Amino acid sequence: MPPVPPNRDLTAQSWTHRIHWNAVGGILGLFVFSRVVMVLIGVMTQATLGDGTISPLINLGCRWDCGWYLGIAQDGYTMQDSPSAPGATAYAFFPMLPLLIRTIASITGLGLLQSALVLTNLCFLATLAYLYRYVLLLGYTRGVAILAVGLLCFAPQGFVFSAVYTESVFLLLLTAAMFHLRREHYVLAGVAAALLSATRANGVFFIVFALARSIQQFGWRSILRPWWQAEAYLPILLAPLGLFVWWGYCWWQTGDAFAQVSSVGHGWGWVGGFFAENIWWNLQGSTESVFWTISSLCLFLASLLLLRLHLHAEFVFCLAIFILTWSGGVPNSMLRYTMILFPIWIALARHIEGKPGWTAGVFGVFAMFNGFLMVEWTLGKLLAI
Amino acid sequence: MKPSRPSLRARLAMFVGLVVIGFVYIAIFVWLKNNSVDFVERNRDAQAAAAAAKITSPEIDWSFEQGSSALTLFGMGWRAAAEGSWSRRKGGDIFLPSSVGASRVLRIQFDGHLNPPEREVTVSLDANGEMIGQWRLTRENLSIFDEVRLPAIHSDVDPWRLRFVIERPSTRLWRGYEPGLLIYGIYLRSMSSQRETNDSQPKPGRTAISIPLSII
Repeated sequence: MPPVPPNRDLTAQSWTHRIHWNAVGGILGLFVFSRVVMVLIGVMTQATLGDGTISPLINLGCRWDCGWYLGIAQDGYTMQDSPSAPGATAYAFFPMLPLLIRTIASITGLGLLQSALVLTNLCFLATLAYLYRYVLLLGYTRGVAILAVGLLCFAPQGFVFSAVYTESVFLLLLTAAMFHLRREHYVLAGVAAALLSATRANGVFFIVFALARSIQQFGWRSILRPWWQAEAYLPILLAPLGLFVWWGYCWWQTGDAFAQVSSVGHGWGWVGGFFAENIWWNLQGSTESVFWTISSLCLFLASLLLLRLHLHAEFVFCLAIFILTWSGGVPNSMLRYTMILFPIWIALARHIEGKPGWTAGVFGVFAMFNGFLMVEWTLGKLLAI
Repeated sequence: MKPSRPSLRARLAMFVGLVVIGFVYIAIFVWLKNNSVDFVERNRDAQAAAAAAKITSPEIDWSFEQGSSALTLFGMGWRAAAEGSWSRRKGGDIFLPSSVGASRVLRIQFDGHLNPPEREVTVSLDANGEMIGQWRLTRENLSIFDEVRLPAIHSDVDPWRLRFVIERPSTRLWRGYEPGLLIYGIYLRSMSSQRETNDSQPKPGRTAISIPLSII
C-alpha cells in the first residue's frame, strides 16, 4: 500500500475551518464511552470480587506507581527508600508528571489525586486529537483516523491513560513531537521531544524517529551533508534536553546523575541484557511474565504492518522501543510500555478499515482483554501493574 | 504557505550551532559520568558504617572492633552536616596501648567514601607529635594499605598517642546530601604476633576512648 499524498485539509485553511466537528464529537464520544465502561467494570469488580467495599471512584485511578508520583508531587524527591524494597526511591520516577500534578494542584486548588486525574485525562483527550490529525497528515481517511482513536481508547490496559501513570502525558508529547516533525515545525517538535525525555527514559528515543524521518525525507546524503537541512536536526538536539536537566537535578541532589538507573537497579532489580535472551527467559517465567512478553510480541507483529504502509520511520522508532523494552531483565509492564507506540494503532486501523468482520474481531478482543485487565487493576493484581 | 528556506549561510551557521550544542551534550555527559557515584550503594554503605560505629553525635567517635585482631577507628569524617556546615579539617587522638604497638609496626588501611563534591582528602598521622605518615586519598584510590613504623616510645609518654587529621579542600556543604561519613574506617593491625590484652582505661584528662583490644 503506497503512501497517500498529505491531506490538503491541514495546509491551506484557517484553524476554525480545520476543526472537523464530527471528528470532535467522535473523539469525545469514544473517550467518554471507553472511560465510563472501564469505571463501571471497576465498580462492579469492587462490589462482587473484592471485599464488597466500593471505594471512591477516583481511587480507581490510583494503583501501583501512583503512590510514588503523588508522593513526589507532595514532598519532592527524597533518598528515602521503600521499607519493602530497599533501594527503591522516588528517583526512579521521572519528574514531568509529578511536576505537572503539583502545578495543576496549586493552580486549581484541587487535591493531588484529583489534579493528577484531571491532568492525565486531559492529556489523553489531547492525544486522541493529535492522533486523529496525525492519521490525516499521513493521507489516510477520517474513517481510519477515528478507527485509530477507537483502538487506542479500547486498547488492552488502555485504562492507564486515565490513571496516575505517565502514559497519557508521554503519549501526548510523543504524538505532538512526531506530528510537528512531520509538518516541519521543528521548534515545536523539539520542545515536545525535550519534555518527552523528561517524562520517561524511553522518550529520548524520539531521536531514532527524527533521524529515520530525516533520511526518509531528505535521503541518505542528507546525513553526509547535514548543513543542507540543518533545521531538521534541531528536534534531535533538543530531544535529550529534558533528560539532561533531569540528570543535572539528580546530580545536584544526590551526587549521582544517574540516580534513576541506580534506583531502578537496586529497588526493582532492573538489569540490562540481550533482548532475545530475555524474551526466551521471560517466556519460561511466571504467568504474568508470559502474558507481558506475548502481549509485546503481538504488538511487535502488528508493528510490521507499518512496513506495508511504507511508514518506515515510525517502524524504526517502534522497533527501537521494543528492543529497549525487551532488553530489561524484568518483564513487568511490557504491554504498558509498548502500547504507547501509537503508529501501530494507525497501521492496524488502516488495515481493518472497510472490513467489518475484522473490525468487530479486533475491537472484541481488545474490549475483552481491556475489561479483564481492568478487573486485575481494580484488585491490585500484578498482571496490571 | 510554507516559509521560504533559510539561506545557505544561515543554514551553515545553524549547523555550526547544532554541532556546538552536540559537543556540549557530550562534555556534560562525560563529566556527569565521571562525577557520579551510585547513591543507593553509597547510602547503604554509609548507613551500615554509621550503624556499625554507633555514631550518635557530630563528635568523633572512636571505637575498636571488639574481639578482633584489628583496631578499627570509625568516625573519621564530617558529621557536622546536620548543623549546616562542614569543617575543613577534622582530627582526633587515639591512645595506642603500649602492648598493641609493641612491634612498633602497624599496618594501616582506609575504607569509606568520598562523597561529592570531594575529590580528594589528605590524611596525616602523627605519633606522639612525630609525623609518621601522610596519605592522599582519592575517589579512585580510597582503599590504601600501608605500613607505618611507630617511633620509639618515651618513658614519659605512655602509650603512643596517634593523631589522625583529615583535611578536605573546601568547606562546601553538598546540598541535599544526608549527613554521613567521609571516611568511616581506618583499620590498624599490629604486626606483633603476641596475643595480649591491654590497659583499656583512658587516662584522666585524655579525650580519646580506649576500648579493650585483643591482638593476635
